[in-house]
Amino acid sequence: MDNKREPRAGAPHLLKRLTLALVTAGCALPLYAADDNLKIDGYLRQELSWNTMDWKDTPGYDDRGKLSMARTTARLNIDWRATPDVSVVAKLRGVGEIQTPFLRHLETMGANNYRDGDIMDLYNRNHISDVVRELYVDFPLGERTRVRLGKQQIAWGETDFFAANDLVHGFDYTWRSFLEPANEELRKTNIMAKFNIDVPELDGAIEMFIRPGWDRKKDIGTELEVYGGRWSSQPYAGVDFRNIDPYDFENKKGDQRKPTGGIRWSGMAGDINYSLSYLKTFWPSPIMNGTSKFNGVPGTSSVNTQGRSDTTGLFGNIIYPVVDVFGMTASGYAEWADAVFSTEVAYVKDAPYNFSAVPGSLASQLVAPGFDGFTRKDVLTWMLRMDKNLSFTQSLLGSEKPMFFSVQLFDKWIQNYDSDDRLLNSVGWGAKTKEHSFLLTGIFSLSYDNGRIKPELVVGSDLTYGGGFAVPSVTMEVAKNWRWKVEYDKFWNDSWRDSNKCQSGANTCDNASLFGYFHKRDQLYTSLTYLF
Amino acid sequence: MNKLHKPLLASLVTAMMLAALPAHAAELPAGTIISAENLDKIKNDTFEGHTIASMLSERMEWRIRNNGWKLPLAKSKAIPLDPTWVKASQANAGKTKINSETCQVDGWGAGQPFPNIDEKDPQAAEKVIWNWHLGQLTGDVAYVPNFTQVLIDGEKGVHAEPVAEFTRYAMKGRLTGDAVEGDGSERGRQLLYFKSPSDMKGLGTFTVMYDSVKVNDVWAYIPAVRRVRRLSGGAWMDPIGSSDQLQDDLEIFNARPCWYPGYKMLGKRWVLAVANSKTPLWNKNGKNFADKYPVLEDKAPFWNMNNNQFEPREVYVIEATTPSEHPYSKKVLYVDTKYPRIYYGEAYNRKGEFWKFMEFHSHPAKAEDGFTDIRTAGGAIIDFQRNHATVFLVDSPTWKTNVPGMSSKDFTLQTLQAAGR
Repeated sequence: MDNKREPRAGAPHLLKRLTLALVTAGCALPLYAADDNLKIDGYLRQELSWNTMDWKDTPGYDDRGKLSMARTTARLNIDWRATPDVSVVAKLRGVGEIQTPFLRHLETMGANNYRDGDIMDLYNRNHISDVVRELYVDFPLGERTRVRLGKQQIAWGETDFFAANDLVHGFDYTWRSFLEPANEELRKTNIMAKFNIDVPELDGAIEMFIRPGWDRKKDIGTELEVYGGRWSSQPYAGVDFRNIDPYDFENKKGDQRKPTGGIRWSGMAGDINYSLSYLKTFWPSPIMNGTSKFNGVPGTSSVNTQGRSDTTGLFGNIIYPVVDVFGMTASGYAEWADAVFSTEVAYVKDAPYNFSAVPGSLASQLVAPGFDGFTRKDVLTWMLRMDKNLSFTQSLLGSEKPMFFSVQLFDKWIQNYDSDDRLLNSVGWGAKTKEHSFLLTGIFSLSYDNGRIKPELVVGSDLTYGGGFAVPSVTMEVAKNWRWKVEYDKFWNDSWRDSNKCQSGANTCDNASLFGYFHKRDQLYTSLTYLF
Repeated sequence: MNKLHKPLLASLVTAMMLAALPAHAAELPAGTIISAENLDKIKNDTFEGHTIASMLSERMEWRIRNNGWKLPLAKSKAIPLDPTWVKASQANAGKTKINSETCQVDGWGAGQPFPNIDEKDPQAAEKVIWNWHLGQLTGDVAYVPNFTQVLIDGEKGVHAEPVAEFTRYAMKGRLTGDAVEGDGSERGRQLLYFKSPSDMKGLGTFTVMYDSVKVNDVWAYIPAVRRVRRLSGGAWMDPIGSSDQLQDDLEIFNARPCWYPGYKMLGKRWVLAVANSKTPLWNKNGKNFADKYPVLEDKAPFWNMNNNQFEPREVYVIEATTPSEHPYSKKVLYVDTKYPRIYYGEAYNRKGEFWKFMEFHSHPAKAEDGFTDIRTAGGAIIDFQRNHATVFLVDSPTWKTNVPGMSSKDFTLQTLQAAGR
């Protein structure tokens, strides 16, 4: 479906008017900045990134050294304490990118060309519902309940990389992929009612929310760069998949208009923080709902289109089926290791998986693996993490405080696994999902010169399918309100998709998995931020 | 002849000796400013009967001579001690005992656990520290909605001035209502979170302090990921944010006394200190340096609180030995003998070299319920090895103690998350 349509009438329009009023008010804000009941802050940020390798999937074009992003962001946070108990919060963001020659080349290749789209529409998202990242009112209800109504974001679970329970919202990975450390910037915020009920007698609290389904269509699900743009995965630069498989946000298996919600208990058991949660939400990974249009064509498998009689796209639709997630988290300090251990488990009932059939549908034979329909599997996602401060860095590396070190093991464990199911990790690449998918990540953070220089190294390794990444960076406080960050994004991979190998069918020519998607996508990134 | 000349000779000798002295020692008037320029001239002069030299520690004198520190003299004023606190403290006399096994003071209910300290008592230093730890005159709830942590480069000046909110809630030793809240395991709770700049807003910690050997439980809220993360128990020895101040340096000494292996009483003496501070030391809406930081001097090294009022105070000097994993090898503390308050601290690195100087200014004030509490107006933690300092300044008019309606239910992990929006 077209994800560029205007929002539906009703609440979003009211939201639009409210937002306009706020933006207008925001222009006059400095006049009131001295008022303690009105707090305003934000930033202006300029980001630049350059490709440091020649992409394999842009033939005849040398991508190395090309400016891939020149993005300006303005962020305004407004917190108005209307009465001692009632607060109104708005978080506004405007962006502006210029079309670099590299982006122009991707556009020439076909990036974001679905319905004559302009590639810059991917990045310059300044519709009022994009500008208003959050807009909510906070107020108490009785002595122990706090209510938050409006557009907001909720983070559940313990982990930021490869989320297990952080599934309330999808993420937008189009302007920058999962490397962005501030995932609050990438979360797609939703209109929700949230209730927090303190239960001090039991050392904990209940959080519950309902999303009535008033969001824009595109505000659900994690948005991968399937448009062929800057963060498109190798080898699909310049390929807008919506030409053959547009979004379907009104599929019966995942209808954006239907309410979703969740409830979580979080508390203390002795020294252990824990939480138990239930979530009905959209499975964040895009799922290909294959078409049955070509069933019966000799040499092709049959495809079962789900949630509607057939797809609107030629070869399928991208959908986000609703799933039930039962979550658990725990964290605690262990004196024997002087470290904090955390764990997180999410049991996902009937998680959808695309699979690769033999011989495969017409689309999967012609285009890529994954167009053969989808099936369901219960999945147990779990994470173990250790956070530790390493004080030896103070004498060895001269850091002003102990280095923060965090190591995390993440796994997706498919229940009742059967290799004959030929489940795929992702549509477009050939790697079959194994029973376990292990990822190991590490974070090393240092600080020098009273926080004015902060070097960091983030590394990750895919233990199951091979490949990994390393992201060294340094953030500098160049003046009181100025921050400058320089980062290098390095990817390596054990296998990647090479279309030259796809002579005998598009679905059987590779074993590319997560880090194969980033083949030759290394980049140098820098940002300059002015805080106000 | 000889007889006649002897008194004359004696007078002459006396006159010559007196002439050899620089000048008569004088009693200096209040308002005299001690500085590098006049220190040699006035060091033998007195103020309230004490010579200036005797009221300056070695490090204080060094700062005056070499680091631009100036001390305006002010008449000393007795610190009013709240009657409920005095009564609770006196009730502990002869009944309390340090239990090193449990890391508790047996028999303590409220007030300072050791109201009468004998300097010759081998545990005297430790008892002073326990008095500070359990008996501070901060009220049951100290709510500080605005303070700034000014980060200062000794050459270039202020390079950051984040603003934060701080609340400390006593769960034990309470002087209003029941002395103990909860199951008795907690000594108190602390909430500290930043309000600005934009990239620090919401960043904060929630701490539960225990009345036992157990290290604090600390959680941090990280706004960029909207998530709470548990911190290591060793975090009490780590810097607060990017400041020069360790968690352990909050108000100069912030550890459970038993986490330090030992204390030594170096003696009693007088020092010049700020016990009746001007307020506020920070005007958050100030337009320029002088307006914003009324006591700081706007010239290198920028961290000297030269415009406050220093008065003679009698202090215990205590050397505290740190645990082996601590960044410091020892701290020397200057603690008022009349009530629990630390004016100065010196920290030494692992090589035994002088590293940091800590200086805190305080003043008595009235709580919302009439309790007389002691508040911090500001403090400096100066890292002389890095020529850098963190000056902590309070927006005093907004400070509230024993706020009606605030309860321990207002200080939970959920509070930290709610504050971090």
